[in-house]
Order: sequence, then C-alpha cells, then structure tokens
Amino acid sequence: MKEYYRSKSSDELKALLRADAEAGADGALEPEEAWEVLEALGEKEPSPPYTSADTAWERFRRSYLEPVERRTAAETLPPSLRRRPPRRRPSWARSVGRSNLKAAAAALVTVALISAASVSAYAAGADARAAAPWEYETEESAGYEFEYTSLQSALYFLGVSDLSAPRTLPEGFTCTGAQTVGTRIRNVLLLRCSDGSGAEITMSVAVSGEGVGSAVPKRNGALEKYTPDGGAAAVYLVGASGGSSEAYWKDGRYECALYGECPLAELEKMLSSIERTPPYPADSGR
Amino acid sequence: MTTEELRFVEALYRRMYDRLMRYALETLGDAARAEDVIQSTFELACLNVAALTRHPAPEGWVFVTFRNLVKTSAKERAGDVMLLERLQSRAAAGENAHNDETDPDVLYGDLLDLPEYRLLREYVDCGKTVAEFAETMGISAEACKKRLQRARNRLRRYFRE
Repeated sequence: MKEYYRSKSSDELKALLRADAEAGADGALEPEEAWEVLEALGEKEPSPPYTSADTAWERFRRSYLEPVERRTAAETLPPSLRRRPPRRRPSWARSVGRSNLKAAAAALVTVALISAASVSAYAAGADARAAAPWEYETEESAGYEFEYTSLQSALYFLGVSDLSAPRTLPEGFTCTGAQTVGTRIRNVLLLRCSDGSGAEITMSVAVSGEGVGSAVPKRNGALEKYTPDGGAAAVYLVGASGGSSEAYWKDGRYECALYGECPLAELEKMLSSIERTPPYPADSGR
Repeated sequence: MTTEELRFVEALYRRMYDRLMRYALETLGDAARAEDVIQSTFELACLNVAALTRHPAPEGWVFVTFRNLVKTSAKERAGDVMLLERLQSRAAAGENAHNDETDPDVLYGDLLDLPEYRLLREYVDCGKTVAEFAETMGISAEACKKRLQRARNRLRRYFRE
C-alpha cells in the first residue's frame, strides 16, 4: 500500500485524510494505513509550521497532566480531607409531580440497591465518590446541559470513556443534560433524556466500591434476563410496570440503571445498541 | 499515575505527535485546534493509562480516540462560528433598528459582559489553544473547556428565547 500512496498526488492524499476524518467507523482507514498516507504526504510536501513536540508536551504536562494527577491523588486522601459536595436537591426532586415521583422512586431504588452493596466498603474507609471520573457538584460541575443523540457521546463528554452505554435513543428523544447526586456513600451520575413532551428516560451510573457486590437487584420474578441479538456476553435485567420500564446491568467498575416512561421494547432496543468492545471512544452522536 | 506509566505516555506522545499533528492540520486546518485535539487525546490516555499499558496496540487506541476527537472538534468549531455569526447577522439585519449600532459588543452588551462569552469569542478568533487560555487565566485546561461549553450553552439558550 505504501507504493500506492506514494503514487498519489499531495492533493489526493489530503483528500484521503479529510475523507477519513469524516468517515464512520466502517469506512475509516486503519491506523497503519493512515500512517502510510501521512508518510507519503510528508515526502511530497513539508508540513505547515506548528508547535514543537517539546513545547506541546510541556504545555500538556502543566495544563492537563497536573490536574489529572491531582484528581487521581484525591483518591488516596482520607475522607475527612476530601472535597464534600454541597447538599442540594436534584432538580427532579424539587417539583413533586406524578412522573417526577416515579423517576425519583426509580432513582432511589437504584441508589439504595447499589448503596446497600457498598456499605462494607464505606465502613472500611473507602469513599466511593472519589473513584468517580465525573466531578462532584461544585460551581464548575453543578450540572450540564447539552444535546446528544447518544448516551455514549454524553458520557464521553463528561470524561467517562471506559463505560459502554446505549448509542441510540427512542425516536424523538435526545440526551439533554446530566447532574451528579452526591450521597454519603455514592456519587451517582444521572443522564437525562427527554422527547420534549415531558416523557423522560434516565440513565444512572455509580462506581462500584472495592468488594462491593452486584448492583443488580434481587427481586422475585419482577425482572427478566435480556441478551441482545448478536450481542456479546452481557447480562441485562429488565422489567416493566405500567408505562415505565427499567433495566440494570454492570460494566466493569460501573453499576448502571436505565429507567423511564417508555415501552420495554424501546429500552431493549437501546440496550442492543451498546457496543461492548473497549475502549469506547466517542461516536458522532452529537 | 506511576513514574513508569508517565514515561509510557510521554514516549507515546513524542512518538506520535508529528503524525497526529499533520493529520489534524490537514483535516482541521488550524494549528491551535490541532494541538487541542492532541492534548485531549492524551488526557484521555492518562485517564485510561492502566488499560492502555496493557492494550495490544496502544498507538491504534490513541489514533482511533484522536480521530473521533478530530470529528468532534470540527463540529464544535463549526457550531462556535455559527453562534458568533448569528450574533453578527442579527445586528446586520437591523433587529435593533432603534439605533444605528452594528457592533455586537454594544448591541448585546449584557450577553458580552459574560466572561465565558468573551472567552469563546477569543477562542474562535485568536487561534489560541485551550492550554494557552488556561495558563493565562490560571486555571486547568479542564476548567477552561467547561467554561467554553457553558458559554456555548448560554448562547444557544439566548437564541432560543
């Protein structure tokens, strides 16, 4: 292939790169091919001027790496020295409508289930909040508003790149925002999706503490196993009641729940869109 | 991150930098945005360093992540330009015909008092990287990115109202 790319003009090579940057996962170049294109282009035309690797690395170290180091180091601090989230009621709990109550109840069930499992970790002095990659409720992270057509993209925006999530939403729905809800032993991330008419679907995510059991609730007969067609070995537990549906699963260190006012079939479609091949770079769902 | 992991990331960064920069320059056409995308890619690499050191093809992981961020950056850039252009076109269309002012800084003074808005405008116009802005403001690159996102959200809300 190297010779093939060498036979192309620099304009053709540039067009190849531009097409690659716009292509979906299927039409994109393999990394090795991209290197060959770049090598061939470098032989034909010098690069425009840019910052040297030394300067860029130094800048990276100062502006990106040190904050990352601080974030990682916070996990080793004793709980008494860690930043505490301000006590704030989440917006869905401020108005007490019927649908809000349902959402609040579902969130509470999720939080209670995963909290119960992590009591032992908390007793041992492990503060699960420090392990979450998203920030606590501070001035900088008091909630986000955005518009994504994929929960995976929203998670990626929030810095959660090691969790697989649905890449499609029911028709008319978009992921409109996120907020963190700090509890004594959990830092739960809530991603809200709505269709503009008041119907909501929420994904809640919590990080498992060390030694914590499964987040999957033990409910007699109310939930069933669901495995997507052609999907990798994934266990989702799903259930429906009235107009609401719910699903629970575990992925690596995360415990997830998906619930909302939609038919169970829609929720299963969302679960089927989860690609379980790490790592999970952002898709183009914005 | 351990010293070994840091060395691993730095070696990967230096080994791939020129290739990634050339790719980003050709696809984004802007050296500052190109550098931002590389920095964000390696920020994610640091956050996932444990998995990356065990990955069979770390360069492939970095490239796929980088290419997705290039795509996102191109869309973000187009969105930023569109937001600022809408502000200009409102002025040009004479929506505020009660005066002859066409400078959006004056017409939309309330909005432009927001430091986030000024940041976004400077970010689009002056060709500075997020890290350069962050250093000037004495904040982390992550906080700077959040401020930019807040500015975008506020402008979008402003136009919806």
